[in-house]
Amino acid sequence: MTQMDHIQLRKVALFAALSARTLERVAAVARPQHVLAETQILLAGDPCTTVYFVVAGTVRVYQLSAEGREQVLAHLEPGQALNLVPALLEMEEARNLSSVAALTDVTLYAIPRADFLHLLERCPELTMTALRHLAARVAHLTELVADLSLRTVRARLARFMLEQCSAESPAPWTHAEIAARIGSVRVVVSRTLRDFAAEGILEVQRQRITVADREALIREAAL
Amino acid sequence: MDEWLLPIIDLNCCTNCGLCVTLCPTHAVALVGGRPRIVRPQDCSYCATCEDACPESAIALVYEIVPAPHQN
Repeated sequence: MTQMDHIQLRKVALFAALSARTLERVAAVARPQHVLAETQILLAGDPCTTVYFVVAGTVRVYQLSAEGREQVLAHLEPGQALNLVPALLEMEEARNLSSVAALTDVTLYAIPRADFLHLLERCPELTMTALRHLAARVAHLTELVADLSLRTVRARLARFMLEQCSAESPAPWTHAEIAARIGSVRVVVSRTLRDFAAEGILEVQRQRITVADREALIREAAL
Repeated sequence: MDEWLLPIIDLNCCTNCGLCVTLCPTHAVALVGGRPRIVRPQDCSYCATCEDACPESAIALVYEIVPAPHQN
């Protein structure tokens, strides 16, 4: 492990505040991997053998329905972990819960599941950080379930648009990606965007959707 | 996103049905060697007709989502 590896590992939220001694133990079992955009990293249902940590690029976490419809669960940015939950399940239940693909070129650090569990047993400060991380994930997923079960597509789309407006670096989105993110289908997203545009809430131009009436969008999102 | 983007055609999903060519209001798309290509990019108005019509969802238009300038 080089000094660069230590610097990279410090970018991971789970490791950022660890003591030098504990980080050294993490670094001893973490291996860097460079993955090209669009590469499949994990398949849902496969045995969970490794925990990954993103240090550069973005990955897409998703699940497929039997009809092939994609539900994006998250876009993970540098600093975030993937496959943490299944790694903590009992051996016979430790299967990848979601599929993961690289959205951009990505640099990951990989820690074999057995090594990661060993670290958690030996390093209480890492264990506490992991618990806080998992609590945040539970909160996020609870919100997602509420969104899917309680809000209309129109409200979910309005909420998504507001979230994107607040993003520090706007990402490019296709209608299909938006649909996957909010639990709908492309044609419904396209139609709803046209409705918003006709009502003056959005302005749809080439390559750009501008939120023209933020207050109206907030009302639509029922926030 | 300053560059002049064009609709993305996923040729792995495309079945070469030609519907995008038939419906494109500016004739920016044509079949070249049996495969759809944006042959007149300057004429593409990014209207999304091709994306909406494609039965295989093989065409995608990319957007960034931004607040109105006075809301920044």
